[in-house]
Amino acid sequence: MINGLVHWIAQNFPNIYNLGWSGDTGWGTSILQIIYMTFWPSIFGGVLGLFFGVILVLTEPGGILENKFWFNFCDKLISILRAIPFIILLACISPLTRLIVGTEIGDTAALVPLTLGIFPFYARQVQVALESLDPGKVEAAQSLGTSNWDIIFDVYLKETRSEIIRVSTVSIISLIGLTAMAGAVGAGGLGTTAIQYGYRDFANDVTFLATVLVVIMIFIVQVVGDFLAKKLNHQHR
Amino acid sequence: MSIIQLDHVSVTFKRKKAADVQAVQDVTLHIEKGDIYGIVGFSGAGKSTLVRTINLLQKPTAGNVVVGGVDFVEDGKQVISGKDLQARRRKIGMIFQQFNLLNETTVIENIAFALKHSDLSDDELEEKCHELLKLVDLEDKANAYPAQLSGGQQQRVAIARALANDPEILLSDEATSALDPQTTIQILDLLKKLNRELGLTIVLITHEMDAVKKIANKVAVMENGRVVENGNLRDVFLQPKAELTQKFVGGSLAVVDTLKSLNISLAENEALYQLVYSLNNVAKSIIIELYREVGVEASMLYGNVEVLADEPVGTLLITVKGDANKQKATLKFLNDEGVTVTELDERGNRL
Repeated sequence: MINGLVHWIAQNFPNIYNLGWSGDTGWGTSILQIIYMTFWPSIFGGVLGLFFGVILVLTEPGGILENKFWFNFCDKLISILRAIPFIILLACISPLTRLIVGTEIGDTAALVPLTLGIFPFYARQVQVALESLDPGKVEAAQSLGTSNWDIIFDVYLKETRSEIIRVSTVSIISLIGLTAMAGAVGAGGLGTTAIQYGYRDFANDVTFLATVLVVIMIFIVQVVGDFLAKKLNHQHR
Repeated sequence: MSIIQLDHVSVTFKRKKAADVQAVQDVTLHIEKGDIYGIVGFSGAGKSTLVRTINLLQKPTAGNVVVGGVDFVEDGKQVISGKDLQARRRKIGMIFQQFNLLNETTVIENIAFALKHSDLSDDELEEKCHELLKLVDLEDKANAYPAQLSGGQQQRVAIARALANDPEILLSDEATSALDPQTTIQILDLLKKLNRELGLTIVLITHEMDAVKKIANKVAVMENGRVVENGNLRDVFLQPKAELTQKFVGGSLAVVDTLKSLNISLAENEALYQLVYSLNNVAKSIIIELYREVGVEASMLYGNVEVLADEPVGTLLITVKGDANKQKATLKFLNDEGVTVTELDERGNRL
């Protein structure tokens, strides 16, 4: 059956067929690249974003570790990074990229700007999620004589986990958008397929299929995210 | 020494573009071990802010706070380290109007959370949690999530959690205000039981005089950040001095109102007395006894019974006819019977 499908594609959509599956330009390669470029920045950006989101909430006025200096520092840093358009960020941090991963081109090089591009966005979302927690719960935990670590992990992060999963889903979807942009300047993945092998070669069928595959990927992330967010929520009867 | 000593405590909130807010002003309160100390006042009176200075959820800007013999605050400066404060807080339980349970953990995990820093082994910890659930009569809900419980049940979980580290003090911040009257009574009964059985000192913040009347033995009335009156429940209740207290006590003390509306005038040899006595101690009919023992005629203007902290307390307003000797004998007789007597003028002012 698969052979039949491949044959049918070769007959009707030669542009798609000609890219192959596993070569440099292959569909399989592109799919693996986009997963690679989504996975690692999700991990690195996720850790950085959670870290900064938590720091913002802890040090903000009225927070349990209220600290004007660190709050302002992190707040401004996040704002500045968020203000840089991603396509420009890609270009302007290339020396930093070379320093960290040793190269300026390809999917591995894209990990650095992708991480830097997504974490400030995620940090803000985490901040909002954590701020949705009723301050009374933090107060109650303090009254029990628990430590600040307990309050961060057992109160802030655990109580808002469903909200955090929801904003993580939004951020990962945003990140997939960024990988396509990185792909457009040659980082690989479905973005490269759609723009360089499709759009620039006037192969509209390639662009279209790449788009469909990206949409499917986003759809899967959304469904999994919604499922987890619902599963981990006990706020209502 | 009092278990909670607040001396000249003030809390001022600084605001950028407006005048500072003085939430608590120069409050001195000493709460003894085993007290159920009611603090009443309308919202915004500073009750919640005041009670938070006891476990330093709110840092006072002036004054001294000493809890359980440990200095927390001296002259508005925190003198206890963060680590020590955490340990001390475990001995000061607190419950809230909105319960503030952790919604993503089960009932038993909520209680275990409070025991995170205890030395108990896992088995002991589980046993302790079940004991606490038994105490609040919720053993069957151990694995439920808070959202699956009613308000009263949630507050009982909160009480179990607050008691997890065997505290000496329980602070209750409007703990019954979000509950219906029936549930309120259950929670108040539970607090009373804990006070009796565990010797728990309870500080009860509320705007409901009935809650205080039911279980407190002492009461402070707050207005605009100040304590305008405090003392034994009975004294404050039956002989309120401050205007606000009279308002709070409301219908309970209709003596002055009654006198005003009666508009009586006393004869030369007539005196007006307000009698306050416990119905548990004074079984006889006072008016008949006065006639029989002292030989004076007393006529009753007003009578009322209040239940204060489980004790039925009667208030009588009587006029007594007789010369100075008879009046003296009347007072002596009443005092001997254990009746608190206050002589009033026709307008209800104390003489």
